[in-house]
Amino acid sequence: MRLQAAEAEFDRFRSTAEVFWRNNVLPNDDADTWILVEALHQDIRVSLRNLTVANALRRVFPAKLAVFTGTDEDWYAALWSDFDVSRVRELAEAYGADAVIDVHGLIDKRVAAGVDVPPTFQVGDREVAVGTAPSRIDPGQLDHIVRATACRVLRVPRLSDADLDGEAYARVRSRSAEFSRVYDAIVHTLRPAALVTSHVDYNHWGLAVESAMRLDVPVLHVQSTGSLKAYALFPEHATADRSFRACLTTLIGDYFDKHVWDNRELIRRSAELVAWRAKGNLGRPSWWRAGSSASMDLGNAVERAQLRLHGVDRLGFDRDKPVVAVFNHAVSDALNTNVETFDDLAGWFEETAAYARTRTDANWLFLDHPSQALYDVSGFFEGIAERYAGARHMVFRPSRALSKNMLWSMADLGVTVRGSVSNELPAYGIPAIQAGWSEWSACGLSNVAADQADYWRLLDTALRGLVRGERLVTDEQVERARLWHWFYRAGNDVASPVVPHWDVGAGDQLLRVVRVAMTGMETDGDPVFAATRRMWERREPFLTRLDLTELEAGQL
Amino acid sequence: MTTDVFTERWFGMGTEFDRPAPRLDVPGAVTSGRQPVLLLDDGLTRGDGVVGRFEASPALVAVKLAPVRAPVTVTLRLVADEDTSEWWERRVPESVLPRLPHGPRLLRVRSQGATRGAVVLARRPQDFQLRTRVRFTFQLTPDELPDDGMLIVELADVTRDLPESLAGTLAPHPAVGVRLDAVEVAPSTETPAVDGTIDGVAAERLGLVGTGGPPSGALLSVRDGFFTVPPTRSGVVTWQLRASMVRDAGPDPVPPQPGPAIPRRAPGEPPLSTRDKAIAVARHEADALRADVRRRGRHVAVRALRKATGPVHRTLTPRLHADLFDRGLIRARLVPLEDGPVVPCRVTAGSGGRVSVSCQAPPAGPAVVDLTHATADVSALARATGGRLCWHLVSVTHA
Repeated sequence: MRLQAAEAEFDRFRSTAEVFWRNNVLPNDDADTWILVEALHQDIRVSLRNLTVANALRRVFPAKLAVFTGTDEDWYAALWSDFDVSRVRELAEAYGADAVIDVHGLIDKRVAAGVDVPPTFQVGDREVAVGTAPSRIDPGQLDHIVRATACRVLRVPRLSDADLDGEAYARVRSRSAEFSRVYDAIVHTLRPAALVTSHVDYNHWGLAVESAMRLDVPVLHVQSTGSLKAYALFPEHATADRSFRACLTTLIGDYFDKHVWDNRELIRRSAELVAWRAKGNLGRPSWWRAGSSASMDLGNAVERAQLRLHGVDRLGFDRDKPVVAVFNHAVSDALNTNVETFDDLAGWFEETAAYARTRTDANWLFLDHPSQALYDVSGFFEGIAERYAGARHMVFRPSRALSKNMLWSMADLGVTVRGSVSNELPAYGIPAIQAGWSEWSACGLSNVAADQADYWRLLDTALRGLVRGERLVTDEQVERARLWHWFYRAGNDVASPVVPHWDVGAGDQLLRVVRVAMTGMETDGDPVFAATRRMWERREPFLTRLDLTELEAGQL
Repeated sequence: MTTDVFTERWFGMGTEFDRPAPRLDVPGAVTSGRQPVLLLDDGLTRGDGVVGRFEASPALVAVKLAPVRAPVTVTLRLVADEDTSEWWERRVPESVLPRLPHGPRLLRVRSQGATRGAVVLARRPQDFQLRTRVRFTFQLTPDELPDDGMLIVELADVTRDLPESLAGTLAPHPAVGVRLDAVEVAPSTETPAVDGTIDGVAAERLGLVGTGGPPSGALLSVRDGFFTVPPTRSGVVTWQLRASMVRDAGPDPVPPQPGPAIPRRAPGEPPLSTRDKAIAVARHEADALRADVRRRGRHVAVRALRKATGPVHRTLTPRLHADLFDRGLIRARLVPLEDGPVVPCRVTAGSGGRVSVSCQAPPAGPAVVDLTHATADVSALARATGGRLCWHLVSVTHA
């Protein structure tokens, strides 16, 4: 587990947490309701958030906690640096877990057992029978998840024939099928009131979400950033044949229109402050950037134009043509988990580069994802860069090769599938095109392509406009983008002493801050509990820091 | 269509919370990275007593100036020192070759979107480290400094292809590690037109040559076989040079990055006892001391050898003299750093090891004069004596 803390500090933390949570949730001795909590991520901040949200639900109704954890060698290579199941078990028990399932260990055993696979396994005092669930996952959907998982663990943008014949793919496929059966069995047997999870993609997370959605269990998706952010999808809001993320995109958009956009007069000043702070990387840190390369210091259009000259000259661009910045994604990251107009992320990038080759009326700056090394070992970006090495109007660079000042002085249009630049750029007057959906893509701040034809049309229209010198972003888009920032960092981010901000880190300091909160403060009215109750009772799609449906002047 | 188009339609990054940026009065200077008039930087680690040290190449700083109504002179004070090499070694990716942390830094100075000249910072052959400072000045007109704008100063790599003999000696990513001590801005004063002959030291002061560092006494040495020259309007420029031999001390290698005195424990590992910690610290100190003694020992040895062999080396051997001056094995060429062809210069050997290099067609942009004498004879001689041919710039003549 990613926890840089002294053993003694962790022990003190655990004993305090155990007493604290025993007294701060409803007694569950007679409860027959379960909450299913995921603890598959190595970072303690992630599991701590999941467990806190689950316990906040246990103040709304009495329930038992079943926590699932574990890892396998594929994930070890792709992501984890060290993962300690026994530590996770200790953490879960300190937060009142009634059962801890090493789900990877369970899958290992079941896959190894072959035909002699046991029909049941234990979760706490409950016996779970495999194969009794009323429905099974759609084979096509399972295949999607298998492929996305295989891409991720192999760190390739797409699977080659050799990959499909390989051992790793076969392992992911057989384990995924087993994951689905086991999650179906757990969800069917325990009938949990909710699934609380940090991720909704890949086999060990995504298949749990699939089982929960299919068996009408609400899914709470806790975010690994900020103070405490969580999205929720209740069965009555889910649309058949749409992924978890796709359902949420629509729900967020509706809510945003109704309660954020309509309250814009009240929120405007706060949103301006968030926009101002974000320029200096405060409150909304880009986690891959720090220091002066992360800050935006340009104060007016003249300064921007001056810096732009130096930027375009460095890249060898034509000063008199607009600059389109295309942001490559981490190419194996959660493929096809939301609506996308291209088959995969690599396909989008490849085709956009091919299109750029023909559009010499603009300068094209292609930027790679800052943590691509964790997602690609195939040299995808470098390969495309080489292909267009002769095109002077196309430049390929790693993300960090340009400071934020430099990038923003140059970019006249941002293009991405779902990257956060598509909400960041419009907030500062730079238009963005998205080739896929994201959390904010229904909030009216970027131009979202409906399909591939629409994507090329959007690009063409934007390029024509840029060449003519038109302003492509509307005042409304700018305001919506700033409101989104406010929503993301304030409206939908719950600050509470029991969940220190992400930037407190994953060490002694975190454990001490939470322990002080648990020993020194009384919990009544704690924002985490109030917000979770509000979301749960109103069936809202996310936690809110305050009641946005009845926002009044003076509350912000 | 002009570039203004991209600015006018741009909605802006402003917010209600923005405050007017503080401005530097003219005349004035930025001498610390903490001065709020330093509006932004790109690739600079800011300092307290200096503006900062560049961590990337190209890199730039921007200063917000009080409104300017008359031409101004901008002066940069740049330093390369021991830390310059260390920063370079630590920050330039290992894939960048050749590894020349001590190599000369040839940089274009750009401002307000245009190149203003070039600077070179280089190690003297007899130094164990980069140890040099240069001053670079350029003029800006008021229309280049709009009231709402800023003064941008960029150090940029030379991007055109250079002759291999020159390119191979230059440090790639040249700005990395260079220290910016000050950016000074003052109203321009009338500068007398340069004509006739001026001596090397004066020419360096006036910015008519850049040889890699300041003169020592009355001698201006061309530290690494080339020197920068500014654009000139027209006419013939002649540089008088004198050859001598110098024993190259060789730079001290960049020391490996020291680890922590007390080794960091992995989570779960038992903590070190006080005794273990004391031993670890003592070992760490001893390692550092040993490295220091080794370094100093080498310096003493090199200096002693230089002293002993000095008189022999200071003058050219008759054979080398004959090679260079009688057989005309010295080549000089003018290499523009942006556009334009490489032009051979006329080399005339004089008496007493003197050479005059003249160029009929001065470049429109910054350039370097590259001096080569690549013959088997010279390198054989260099091998035999450990010496290196070195030039002093005696004078510059504009005709």
